[in-house]
Amino acid sequence: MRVPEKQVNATMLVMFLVLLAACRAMTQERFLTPADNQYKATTVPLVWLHTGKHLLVGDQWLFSVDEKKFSPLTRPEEEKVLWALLLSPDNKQILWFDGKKRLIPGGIEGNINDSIVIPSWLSDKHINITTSVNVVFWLNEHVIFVQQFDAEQPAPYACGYFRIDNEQWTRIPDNACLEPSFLHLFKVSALTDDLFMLYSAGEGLHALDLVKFTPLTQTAATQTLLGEITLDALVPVQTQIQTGNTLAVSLNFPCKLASGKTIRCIEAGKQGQAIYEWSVNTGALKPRWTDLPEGSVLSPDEQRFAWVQADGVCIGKPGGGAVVCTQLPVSLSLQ
Amino acid sequence: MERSPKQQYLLVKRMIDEGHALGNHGYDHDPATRRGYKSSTTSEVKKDFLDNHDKFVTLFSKHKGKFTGFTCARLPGDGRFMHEYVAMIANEIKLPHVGWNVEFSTNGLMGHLKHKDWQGIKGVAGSRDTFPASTNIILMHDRHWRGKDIVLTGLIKQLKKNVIFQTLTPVPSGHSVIKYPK
Repeated sequence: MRVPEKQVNATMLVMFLVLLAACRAMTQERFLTPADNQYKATTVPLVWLHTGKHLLVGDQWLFSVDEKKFSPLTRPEEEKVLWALLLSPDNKQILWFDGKKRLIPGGIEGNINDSIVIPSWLSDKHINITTSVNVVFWLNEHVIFVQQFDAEQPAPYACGYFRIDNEQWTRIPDNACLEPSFLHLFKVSALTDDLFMLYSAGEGLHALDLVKFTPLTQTAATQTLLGEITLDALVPVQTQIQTGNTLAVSLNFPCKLASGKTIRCIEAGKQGQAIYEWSVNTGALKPRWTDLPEGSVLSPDEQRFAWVQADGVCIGKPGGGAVVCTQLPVSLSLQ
Repeated sequence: MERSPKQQYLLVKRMIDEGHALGNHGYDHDPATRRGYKSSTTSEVKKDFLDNHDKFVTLFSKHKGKFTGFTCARLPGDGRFMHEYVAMIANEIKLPHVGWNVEFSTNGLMGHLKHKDWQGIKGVAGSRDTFPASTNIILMHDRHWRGKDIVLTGLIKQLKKNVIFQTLTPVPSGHSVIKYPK
């Protein structure tokens, strides 16, 4: 792991100059500077609401596309916690997750409820709780699902769900938990009532598993694997079920197809964002849009894209045309 | 490695000349998922590791060099969680299987790195909240730091203030699974 000192010193000098330039820019500019573009494009996620009229920006703001106006989301008061936002399938509820064991439900319109503590189901397996992980997702608009595992041990998963209406936790059998490609499950997206995309990571690889999952109606072996894809890097991926006669998923990531089994994303920045149609029945991936600005997300009606550029959120139509950008609020520029 | 055979030879030769431990990671990184391991066999994976060794022997001989062999090994992907494969590496390949003590990446990339803004370094996520011991192995996978040079430099700078970086060699003999050095 030893790095030649001269190389380190030269690198440090360059990095210091970059940092100095960035600091100077931040003191002079109210909004993002071009130097921040690469970092910002990958760290300010955008999510369209179903209506296509609003975007969630950086887990902090609700952006009205027509009014070009940012409204702050009501976040939990503890500012030192890096809360992650989980939007319910009906787009009406927000779940704030501290990344460890606390959840705070709220509404997209601003209310914040009492905090919920996730039970420690792994403790009965004598697992070191400091290395345990909770993966949280909305099973549907009434139920939050939690899967637990120990990041350092191949012990069985533990899982259960929380009903919003009666505020009750229910643990389900370990063999009914999700079974991702890699042990380190880190995200689950609901595509329909019973179709879910599992995101898991192993040694730099990134697996996407499309599964049918029905834990509320079955007690064991509730997962059916419908398709799997491996990416060579942990890039941001957005998935959306496509309407049509055959089961297809829209995959939005900065990657290109390759001849091997693994999709190439390592040089993602040079490849641009692309949206592919993944036919689950045949496994075929077909490009729908390529060479999009990094981080682009397609509106639900597929009429326009949104992405983050140096100075703000930009909205444009597929295939070109006018692009309208609105400056990001200060809180995001200082992230 | 996306390099020409000559570049591969020069890189590995340099690693050997500088005294680094050289790990066998198999030839084609397959299987990697738990599902892949369950549908494979230890003899198939053993062949992949032996093939990788043979490729380097051939590569070095083409350049009139002598490949001194691997000193440790690591199964791709989730192989570390598959006990029969780890046992195969130790008992049949006769190499210790290498793990790590601490992992770093960037905030929000992987759920198991839950200590975000680790030690106050914005953007860095760690598998534990404390500094590694000087004898720990640290995993910082290059794939996770694209476009985050400033964050990575900040982390390394902070680490170097508190821990001593050493070359991972020699690997102790007689260990089937190591988090080096024991």
